[in-house]
Amino acid sequence: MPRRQLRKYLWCLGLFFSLSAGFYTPAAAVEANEMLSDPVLEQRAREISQHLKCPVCQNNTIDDSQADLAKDLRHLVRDRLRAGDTNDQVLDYISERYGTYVLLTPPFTKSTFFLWTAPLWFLLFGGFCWIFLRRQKTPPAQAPSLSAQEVDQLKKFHHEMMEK
Amino acid sequence: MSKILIALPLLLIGGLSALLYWGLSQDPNQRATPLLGKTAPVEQFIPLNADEKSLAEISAENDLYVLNFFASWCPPCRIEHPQLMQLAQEHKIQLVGIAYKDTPKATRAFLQQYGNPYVATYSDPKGIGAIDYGLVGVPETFIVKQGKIIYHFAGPITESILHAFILPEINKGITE
Repeated sequence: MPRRQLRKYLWCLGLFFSLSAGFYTPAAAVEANEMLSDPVLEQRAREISQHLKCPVCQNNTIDDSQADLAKDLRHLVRDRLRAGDTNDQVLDYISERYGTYVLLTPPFTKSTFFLWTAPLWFLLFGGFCWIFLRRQKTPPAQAPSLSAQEVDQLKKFHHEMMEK
Repeated sequence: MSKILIALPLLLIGGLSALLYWGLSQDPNQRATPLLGKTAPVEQFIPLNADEKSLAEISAENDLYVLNFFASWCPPCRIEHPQLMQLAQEHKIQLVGIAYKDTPKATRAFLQQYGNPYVATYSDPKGIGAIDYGLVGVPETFIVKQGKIIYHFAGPITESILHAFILPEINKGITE
């Protein structure tokens, strides 16, 4: 592709991606009558809800799931906030009953150690491979070249073989 | 050395595939409940009939009982009902029923029509008490021993599930 065309193409691609990123607004299932009157608490409720997986529709958070249970849990989050819980306390309250799998930020424990550190292991592995491959590229040691005497001997042998 | 390098990605892919195969074949509804070994919550449940004991009393009086969340509007609950009757009548297990998001009228009609396997029945009209049990839907069943949850099953108890899981776990609870 000629350079001018390539530049135009890349420019269009870049524009497309930046526009898509800007216009992404996830749908929320929170209804007006669920919202708390205190905007600070309501904002915390939305944040917490976006960190909780809906146990019924496991691809959604409770913030954007239409399931009945998601609605119940949204109410629960708001109740706990009104009772004075911190964000972490609310998350603990729900994960104590439903399991830590509902937390979209998984806790850092023995069982999730490899989940969290996997990118590091991949990087290390890639690093080792790269170092190893670099070492491989250095040319092997040259065999010592033949001396003049050895060249003559080789020529003699060669003639003898040819005459046979 | 190069043989190891060739084998390594294949091993990794093989291992990862095996892990994914295992992980994706898990039933997302049978997640392990964090409540095993914890005290069974007994608040938030209203007796269906005024003269019935509270769930706290029932829990204190019975060494082992089976707690079953159900609803009249729930078809799988209808499917598991004969097995619950079997548990109560044949195996003489104490069953306690909790009507989830239902009306007393509909619950009584359901039990009248299909039979009542429960020694006591409670209502949880808003599902608040059910959240304390990490309930995701109905039916769900818990085995409670000395006030503590020892087993949890999500979904309808079919005949085979009754014999494969429920009865053995009840026996474990009785004998251990």
